[in-house]
Parts: sequence; C-alpha cells; structure tokens
Amino acid sequence: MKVRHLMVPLLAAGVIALGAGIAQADEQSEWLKKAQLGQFAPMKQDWKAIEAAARKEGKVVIYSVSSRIFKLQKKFEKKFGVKVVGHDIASAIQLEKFRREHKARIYQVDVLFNNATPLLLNEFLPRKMVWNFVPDSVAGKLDKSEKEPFLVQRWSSRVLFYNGAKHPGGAPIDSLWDLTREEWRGKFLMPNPLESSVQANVIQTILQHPKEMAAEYERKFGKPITYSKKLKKATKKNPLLGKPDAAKEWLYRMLQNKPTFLRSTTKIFKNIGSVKQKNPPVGFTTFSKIRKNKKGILDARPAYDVKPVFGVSYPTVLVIADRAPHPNAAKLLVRYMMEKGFKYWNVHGDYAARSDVAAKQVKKFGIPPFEDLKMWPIDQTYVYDHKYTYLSLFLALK
Amino acid sequence: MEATIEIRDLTKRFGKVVALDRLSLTVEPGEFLVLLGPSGCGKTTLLRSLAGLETPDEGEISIGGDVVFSAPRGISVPPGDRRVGMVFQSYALWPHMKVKDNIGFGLRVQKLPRQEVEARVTTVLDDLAMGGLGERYPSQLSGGQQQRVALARLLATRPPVFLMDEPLSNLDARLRMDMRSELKRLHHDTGATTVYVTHDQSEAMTMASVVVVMNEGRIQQMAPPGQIYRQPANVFVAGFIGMPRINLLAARTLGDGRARFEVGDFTLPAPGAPPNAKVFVGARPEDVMLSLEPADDAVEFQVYAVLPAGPETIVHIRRGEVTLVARETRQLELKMDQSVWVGFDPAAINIYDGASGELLPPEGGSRREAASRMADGGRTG
Amino acid sequence: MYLVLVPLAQLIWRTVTWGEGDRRLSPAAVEGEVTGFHWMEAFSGPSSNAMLFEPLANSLFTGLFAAVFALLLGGVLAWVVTRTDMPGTSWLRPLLIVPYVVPSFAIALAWETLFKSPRIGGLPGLYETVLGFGPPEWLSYGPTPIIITMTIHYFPFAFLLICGALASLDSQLEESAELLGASRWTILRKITFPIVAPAFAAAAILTFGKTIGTFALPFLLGQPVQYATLATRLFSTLNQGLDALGYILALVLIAITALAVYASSRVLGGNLNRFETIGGKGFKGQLTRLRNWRWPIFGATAAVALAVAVFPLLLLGYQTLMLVDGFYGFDNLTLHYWIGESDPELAEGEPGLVRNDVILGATWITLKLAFISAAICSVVGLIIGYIVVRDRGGWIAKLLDQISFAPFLFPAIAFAAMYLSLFAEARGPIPALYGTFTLLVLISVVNRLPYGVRTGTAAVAQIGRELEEAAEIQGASWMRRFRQIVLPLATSGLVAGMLVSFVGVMRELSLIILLITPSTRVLMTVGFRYAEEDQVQLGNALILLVTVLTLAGQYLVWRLGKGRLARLRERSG
Ligand SMILES: Nc1ncnc2c1ncn2[C@@H]1O[C@H](COP(=O)(O)OP(=O)(O)O)[C@@H](O)[C@H]1O
Ligand SMILES: [Mg+2]
Repeated sequence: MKVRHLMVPLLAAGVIALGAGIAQADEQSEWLKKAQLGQFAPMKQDWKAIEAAARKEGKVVIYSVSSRIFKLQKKFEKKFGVKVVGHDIASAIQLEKFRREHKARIYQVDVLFNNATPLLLNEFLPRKMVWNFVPDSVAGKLDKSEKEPFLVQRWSSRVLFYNGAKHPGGAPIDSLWDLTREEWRGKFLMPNPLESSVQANVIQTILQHPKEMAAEYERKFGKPITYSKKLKKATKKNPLLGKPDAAKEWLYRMLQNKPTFLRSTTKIFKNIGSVKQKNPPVGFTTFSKIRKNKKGILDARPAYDVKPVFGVSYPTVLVIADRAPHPNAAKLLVRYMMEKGFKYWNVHGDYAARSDVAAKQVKKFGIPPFEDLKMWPIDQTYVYDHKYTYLSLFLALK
Repeated sequence: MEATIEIRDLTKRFGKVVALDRLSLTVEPGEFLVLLGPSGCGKTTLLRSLAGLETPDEGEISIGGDVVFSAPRGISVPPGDRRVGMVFQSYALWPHMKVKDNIGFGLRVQKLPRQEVEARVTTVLDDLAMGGLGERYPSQLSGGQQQRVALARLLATRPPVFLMDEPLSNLDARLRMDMRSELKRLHHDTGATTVYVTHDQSEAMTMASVVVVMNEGRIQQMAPPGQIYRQPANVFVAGFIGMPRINLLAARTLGDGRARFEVGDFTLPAPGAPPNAKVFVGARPEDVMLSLEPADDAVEFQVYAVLPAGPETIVHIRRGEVTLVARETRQLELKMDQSVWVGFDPAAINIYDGASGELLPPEGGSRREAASRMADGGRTG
Repeated sequence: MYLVLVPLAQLIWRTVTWGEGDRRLSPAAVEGEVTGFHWMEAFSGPSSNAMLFEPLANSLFTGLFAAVFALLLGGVLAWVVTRTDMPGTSWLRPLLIVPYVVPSFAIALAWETLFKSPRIGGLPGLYETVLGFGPPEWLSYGPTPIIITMTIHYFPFAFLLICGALASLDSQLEESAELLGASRWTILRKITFPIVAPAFAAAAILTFGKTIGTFALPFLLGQPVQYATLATRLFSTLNQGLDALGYILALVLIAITALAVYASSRVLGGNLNRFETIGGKGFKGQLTRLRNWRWPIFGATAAVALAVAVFPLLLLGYQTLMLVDGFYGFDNLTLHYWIGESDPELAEGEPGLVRNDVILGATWITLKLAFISAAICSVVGLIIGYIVVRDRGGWIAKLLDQISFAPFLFPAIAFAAMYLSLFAEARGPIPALYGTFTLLVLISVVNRLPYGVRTGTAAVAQIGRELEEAAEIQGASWMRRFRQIVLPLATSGLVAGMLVSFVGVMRELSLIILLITPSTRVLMTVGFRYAEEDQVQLGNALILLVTVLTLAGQYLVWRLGKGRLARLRERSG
C-alpha cells in the first residue's frame, strides 16, 4: 500500500514534467523576447525605454553576496523610482536557493550578484538559468574576459598578509613554500579550504600550477623537489588524483605544517594585523580587508613579493536570472552597479573591472596596478571539474 | 433506575493471556453483585468491559435491555453512552479540579444548566457529609474524603448501574468498615444495579446480594454469600472462600458399601459419597468437632497450635502428615501436643469429585438427610 | 507524513542517482540514472576514512561524552532545584537555562575569548592576559573544548526535561521509601531515578541527538585544528557542491539517532504505564530536606550558574561596550553599538542596536515565529505523545513515534532545501507557501516536533489512564478529555517542551537561512552575518538581545504554566 502511495505522485510528476519540459522552452523564449536577452538582445540598448519599463516594473530583487547592496537601495529608488529588494546571501547558498526556486518555477529574483563563478559557468549558464547582460555604456572599458561569459563587476583576491608592525622592513616570507617550513609551523591562518569555496578555489588554483611550484621550490631551496611517501601512496591508491607533482607536495607539506583554519576572513585579518602581539602569524585572507587597517591597532600588509604568487584573484559577477520578473529594472540595476553605484564597492583592495575606475583606485589607494600583481586568476572550468578530486586529495593528504 | 445486565460468552484476550474466557452472567435489577477472585483473574477486565473501557474479543453485553456490546454484530457503545458510573481503585480524581468541579464534571458534560449542576453537587456533597469541602482540591483531602468524592462523582449523574473496582482497598481498616455500611446504605437508597469488584472475601460476604467467584477468566460459582460459604461449587471456591481456609482432604471412598472412606491412615464417615471413588472432603474449621475424650468415629489428633481470637479459638491439630484447622467457640482448655478426638459434622461437609473438583450432590437427597441416616445407622450398627 | 517522509525519500533518492554536477565524480555519470557510486565511494572509496569514518568516530566521541556529562549535570541540578529545599531556586532556575538560550556559537566565541591560543595571532585571550602565557593547545581547540562547551550548552536542555518530570513526581513515592528506612541515596537510585526514567531516557536521546548533530561548536572549536565531525564534514561537502556525498553523511547521522531511539524504545519498551505518577489522588510535592548540605549545595549550584551563565554573558556584554574590540580600558568604552547613530567609521556604518531597523524588524518576526511555533509544536507533540502512550503497541502509535522522530537529525540545511522545493508551488490542496511566514512556522514546527513529541510522551506517560477513563465514562468526548484532563495535567511537561521549542526556534539558523526573504528575516540570520563579518560588538549585542528576549519569553511561558502547577501542588497544612 505504501509503495502505491509513493508511486502515484511520482508517476504523475513524471508525466507533468515531460509535458512541462516542452511548454517550458516556449515560455522561456517568450520571456527572452520580452526581456530582450539572449538571442533577442538588440544591437543597441535603448536606455530610455529600459528606464521607462523599469519604472513600470517598480521593483528589482537581487541576491547579493555583499551586504553593501543595502546601502544603494535608497539612492537607487530615489533616482529611478524602483525599489531594490536585496537579499544578502553567501554565493553557494544563493545559487542553491535560486536553483531550487527555478526548478519549482518560482521566478522571483532578477539579479544575482555572485562570486561562485565555477558553478555559474558550468551549471547555470549551460542550463540557461542565468543570462549575461553587458550595458553598452561600460562595454568599452572592459576586457573581453570581463564581458564574456559574465559581466564582471570587480576583481577580488585572496592573498597572503603579514604583520607590518613586527616586520616594518617587509614581508617575513617570500615564497608559498615558506608555509611548509618549520619556522611557520602552526603560525599561519586561512579559511577552511573544505568549507570556504573561495579558499578551496585558491588551493585548487595552486594545484593547477605544479610546474611553477616546482620551479619555485628549486629557487627557494636550491634543489629539485622530492615527493613524500604519503603523497606517492595516496596517488597510487586513487589514480583519479593524478601523478605526484610539486603542487600536491606543497599541499601535503602545508597541511602537515599545522595551518589554523578560521571562519571569518575579518578575524584572520585582525589576528594577523593586530599590533599588540609578540609573535604574529601570516595568513590568507581577502585583499580588501586591507581597508580595516587602523593606526596603532591593526597593521596587516599584503606580502606582494611572495613567489610564485601571493594570491589568487576571482571575479564577482552580475547576471540576470532566467525568467526574471523585472528584467528592465534588473538591467537598470546592473548598469547602476557598474557606474554610480559602484562607489559602495570602491574600496581599498578590490579592483574594479572597469579599466578607468581601476586606474583611479590605483592612485587613490596607492596600490600596484592589478596587472602587476603576482596573482593567478581562477580557472572556473578547472576548479569546477576538479572539485571532487581536490576534495579527495585534500582528505587523503591531511 | 434499575437495569439488568446480561453478559453472554464474553472473551477478552491480551496477547496470549486470556483474561475473560467465554464468560456469561446475568445481573438482576437492583442487585449488589460482587466479583470476587484472586488477583489477575479478570475482575477488572470484566468491569472495564462493562464500562466500555475495554473492548472484548467475543461475546455480547446488554445493559437495561440495550445491547451495548456485541462482537458478532459489531456493536460497541462508547462508555459515555452506557449510563454506567464507575469508581476506580485509585479514585481517579482529577487533581487539577476542585472537588465540586470533579463532581460536577459529568453534569456539565450532559450540558445541564449551571444552577442545576451546582444544586446537585451541593446535594450530593451534603448527602455524603462533605458539605464544606467543595472548594478544596483533591490533594487537600484525606484518603477517606477522596473516596467519598469519587463516590459523589458517580452519584451526581445518577446512573442506573454502578461499577466499582476495589473502591475501599486504599483505605485503612477502620474506615473500610465504615464505608462498607455507607455503600450498602447507598445501594439501598439508589437501588442501582451494582457490580462491585474486590479480592477481599469478607467485603464480598458482607456486602453482596450475589457473589460471583472468578478464576482464570471463568466464573466458578455464582450464589448468595451464604451459599458460597456453605456449599462452594468446586474445590477452587472452597479453598478460596473462608478464613481460615477450609480443610480439604484427598480421600478414597471404601468399596465395601459402607459409607466410610480413608484419609491418610484413618477413616471418617462421609455420608452420601459414591463408593469406590477418588474424592476431596471439604470441612470448614467450624465443622471440625473436637472432643477431649475418645468417641465413636472419632480419630485421635495432637494439638499443634492454639490461636485464641476473641470470641473463638483457632486450633491447629496434627496427625502424621495431616494438619487440620478447627474453630472452637467453646472455652476448651487445650495444651500443646495434647490429644484430641476429631470428627466432622456430617451435615456440613462437602464432597468433591477427585478428578473434576466439582461438588458431588449427595446420593438421594441432601447431605444433611444422608448424615442423619448415617448417624442412625452408626448407632444401630 | 508528507512533511517528513517525502523529504527523506528525496534525500535517499539523491544519494542513489547521478546528480547535475556528478560527471566530475566519474566520467560514467549520466544525470538522473541510478547508481551505487556515492555509497561505494563514501564507505569504501580511497578517502572514505577521512571522509566518513574519522568524522564519525569524532562525532561519537564528542557526542557521547558531552551527552553523558550534560545529563549528569542537568539531572543533578534538576533534582537539586526541584526536589530539595535548597535556597534561591527561583532565580537559579532561569540562570541555569541561559547557556542553552545563548546561541551555541556565542559560547564558542566566549570560549575563544577566554582560551585563545597565541598561535592563531591577534590580541591575547583572557587566559594569556591574566596568566602571562598561553593555554595548552588541547584547551584551545579540539575535542576537549568541544565536549566542554557542548556540555555547557546542552545540560540546560536535559535540565529542563528532567525538571518537568521531577516536578510532577509524587513525593509520596519517595516518602514511602524513606519510611521504610531507605537512605537518601537509595531513594534517589531506587525510586526517584526509575520513576523519572522515561523522561530521563527521552532527555538522554534528545541530548545525544543534539550533541552528535551539533554544528557550530565543533565547527568553531574543531575546525582550526582540522578536527572534523560528521556535521562539519557534511557542511563542507554540501558547501563544495557535492550534495550526494553530503546527504550520505546526513543519512549516517540519521541512522545513528534512529539507532539510539530504537535502543531506548527497546529499553523502555511497553513499560510506559509503569511510570504513571500522577495518580487519581492528587499528588504531594514534599521537598527533600538537605539539612547541613543546604548551603554547600547552594554554593556549588550557584557557582555553576555563575560560571556557565553569568560570566559568559558579562564577557559578551563587556565586549559590546568596547569601541575597538580587544582593547581593555576605560577610554575605550562606548555605548555606540547599542544606541549610536550610523557612523561610517564604525561597524561599516551600521547604527546601534536600538536604531537598527534590520535588527528591530527581525526581532519582531523572531518572537512571533518562536511563540507560535513553540505553542503549536508542544500541543501537536502532546497529541502525538498521547496517541503513542495510549495506543501503545498499535501500529499508528508506532508509526507516529518513528516518523515524528525523523526530522530530528535531518541536517537543518538539507531539510530546509527540501522544504523549499516541497512548498515552492501549489500541490493539490497545499498552497505555495514559499516566502511566507507560514512556511517558516511550518518548518520550525516540524523541525522541533521530535522534542515536542518526546516531552509530550513523557508528560502523558505520567498521567494515570484511569483519570481519563473516569471522564470517558461520564460521556466526555475525546476533545473534552484532552482539553480538560490531559492538557492541564500535562502542563508541566508541556511547558518544558514549549520552552525547549521556543529556545530552539529563537536560535535556529541554518534551517531558516534558505527560506528567508527580507520580510521573513530573523534575528539569528542577522547575528550570523555580524559574526561572519567579525563585527564583534554588534554581534554580541544581538546575542544578548536574543538571550534577554528568550529569557523573557521563557519566563512568560513559565508563568502561564505555573498558575496551574501551583494549584496541583497546593497542600493542606
Ligand atoms: N492492558 C492489559 N494488557 C495486557 N494484559 C492485561 C491488561 N489488563 C489486564 N491484563 C491481564 O489480564 C489478566 C486479568 O487482569 P485483571 O482483569 O486486571 O485482573 P484482576 O482485576 O482480577 O486482578 C491478568 O493476567 C492481567 O495481567
Ligand atoms: Mg483489578
């Protein structure tokens, strides 16, 4: 009896789903046409019309990885008469929420402001659950990679910091391999690479560069790298992990060197930078935390000279949700966040995607131009595809 | 206010335990029927089945002519519609309600007007001499008072049938005695058909108009208290009823035609018993006659213990392996280990079939007649 | 059933099929097809040790120890507070509940503030400041602090449950043993304990289920040294988008509790009636006299209360007054984070608590949610508990008992995800509830139901069956009996259950985080964000707010129940 109970709704659901699938495709192209997105995007954007339509829509809903979205609400509404309904949700959860809503055909969000680009690129874009939209007013200021596949608003990065009060002469480390040395044993911090998706991306990106890591090893220690037993054993046991290489060896040695995983990047920043301590740690945290430095209290500095890189950069992107109920307001908001509204994200440590704004930032904050920073940008597809091997490797080596 | 209760072939099982075993019983209107039996024999189950708190597996029950339960017909009237009242062993007073609310609960359920409820509660409280206690909570009352509240709660709704499950067992001895007479009075005044459960035989004997002795889910005997005592229908009832216990002796009647039979190494007269049969002889302690001198048909025993108990004395006597208990109302000076001569009152003894344990009717008339014939014969012989 | 079995079925289904991103796991993956890959991988794959077994062992280790300690501490305190003449019970009781009221992550934060290891940098912790050297590593992070903080956090939970049972225990039962010359210890062991056994067993299972599923404490105190439990590993895998593996971990967690529940029902078996303690004679609540021990025991209890309740709150409170976190000194004191206006230099421009619209709005929603859910949950729990007890052995009772327990160890986040899809659209008679307050209530109730049912069962198990039958004979309908007999008599248990639910809902985070919309934002999601951004002062102020509100709410519920209880316990001179 119980089985039958389950079977009936399941079967029914199946039939409905099949029919719905066909209907859905029509519905979607209908929406695209109306929203003028995807294959219906016009050659030239008519902003007068968009703004008028947006006013009529009256409201725009955004899932935002950054709580600063709340700060632009008032100004935006005043200017365009469009209410911004912001949800401040972390990237991964945001996508999970959106995925479920979309599956259930609740179309209620318009814009996603998100940095889980590996997922967006590999799951959401191919399934046509999100749409890219680049306001032509800013298109000229963007690199090609910042317009395709997504509109990038800014570049953030996860980099190594050290305590400037203790080391006024410069960073006490100059290599990623320093993190594997006895001197720093137990004295470096980072978010948990199993929990924080950004930190996972950082480690994965390093794993993507074994050659560079090998070269750096030779530079640092003056001899070619040798692989430890544990790594060899782990790779032998699980062929999916690939051959031993310098990056994997680095991960192994780094994990053996007792890293401390802290949840909050702000806390990591403070722990590194707090001037009132004898033996401060170094660590990975978000570059833009640098804005929190305060004279006499916090002095954490980016270790720019660490080789091969001192960090990994990743974009934060703006995309329009499929079947967004307020597509015009969404476009308006996206444009606003790239122009006037960018000021809320115009902080020390984040680099605007727009080249003109980024140039101003370099001057204003006294930071090196983005291009000069020794960072690897994350490779969304690599990160996405290797998520599981990364997890297995991590667990095998820890 | 009177109702007949008819129970037919009632069976109730709890898993493997058969609590009621094809039990049939008719309670006449206005009767005070006491269910008596050892603990676990199914009394409570029977009572709860009557109330509708337990659903039997088979059989039928009707109360006041209405079928309230019938397994074959799939009838089971809910307890509230059976017009029975019940007093629980634990009283089951609601601790969170005042006495008057406890008593008035059933009336309020019946949607009687407020004044009427209050009037009736007051009357019932006054009747039970608890005038000022209405505002108290059960926990503020003594055991006896709680008992009365439980009674009052039953009386308030004036049901034609009272069901009581060991209502007095939680009271001390003195109070129990007082309450017995009150309950009897109450029964007389209300005339309600009452089914009363107890495992205390003196309670049963003093209160019942009819006693039903139960064992293992079956009725062993149903009779007025006097008859239950004088003529227990089988060995079980004989053994169960009476304090001190009945003397029950295994015996074999002699095959020589003479109405004598053997017990251990002695013989005693057994009037009216079939010849050449295995039997039990049951003699109540008061039917064991002691004399200090040897007599006809009397057997010599030794005094084992003497237990004076006010108006009577209980005497344990022994001969070999056989111990008998006698009740003496005469003032005999008995010493330990002295010899006494023992005979049974032939008019009072009961003889039970050795195999079935059932009471054997005396051949050709009552045992009393047979006894007197025997006595004559003995004298002539 | 719909609310519990369907999500569970979905959960299991996902673990035996290939999902959207699973081609990463194996080139053979075809989305939607059935596979045993996930289970094989979790149980016998190359990393199954680190993935599953090690966290499992850690979970069991910390969970069991913490549960045992919490039960002991909670049980002893409950007895002392309810059954003895120790002074000061009226104010000690609420104090002892504080650690449960405080969000668990706050306890972890307080622990960190105290025992911060110099190794992680930053300002020295209190321990180091006072003693001049850092605490040993094992005291800062790892299993020891996890067990200790779990004990601190969950003993009030056991305390509440056991208090409820003890409060309705007829002291005559104890007294009669005393008359027989039994020693106090014997009475406790032979009378009191066995009688409260069902409540105790319920408390034990619930506490164990809690400790083993706890997320925040092992997360904050275990993570830094890579000490993972099932709950934190589950979170990691879900976070990496590997949901099938995560769900398997969830199912393992579920299996463990199911086992605990099964074991307990075997132990308690059909003996529920044995423990009816509210007889028909009204009960007496005589207190055990402690005599010479009165003050020493009071001292010990008060010390516990101060250490676990007052001290952490003071610490958190003090932190909210610091203009710059970590600098102790008078010139650094400010009320900005409580009453200040928005200042772009401080707290990212967030205004102080009383001016903060987000916080105030969330406060109102949270309170509403907690009250409504707790009330519904405890009543529904009582009804189910009633059926379970009265229809003992019946298949409905068994089924209900089992099902109502299922939400118990659903990792809240997975549970929420399923509810999202379950109620996203109208299905038959059920309207689309997504984004509504009703859905929050619904999910909170279902999530809390196991506690409601346990306390309900314990409460009903103590009410003599005859009490109800007496009413049945008088023609009272089931509704009436339930309302007028069962409900009032179960009050103490009900109140305990409601308190537990209330507190739980107040603090619930992960369950709700997927379901919130700005109109249904609750305090914890706001607080979590502050913690995330290391806005120590605002975060702590919020924790204090939650604590105060919860205590107030709890006091209210307590008062509601107390009027009735008082009447039950009145004694003639
Ligand atoms: N609810 C029950 N579940 C299982 N067995 C029961 C139940 N109630 C009674 N019994 C069993 O039925 C038999 C008769 O019980 P009961 O009617 O209470 O006896 P009495 O009242 O004569 O002492 C006993 O063996 C008892 O153990
Ligand atoms: Mg009985």
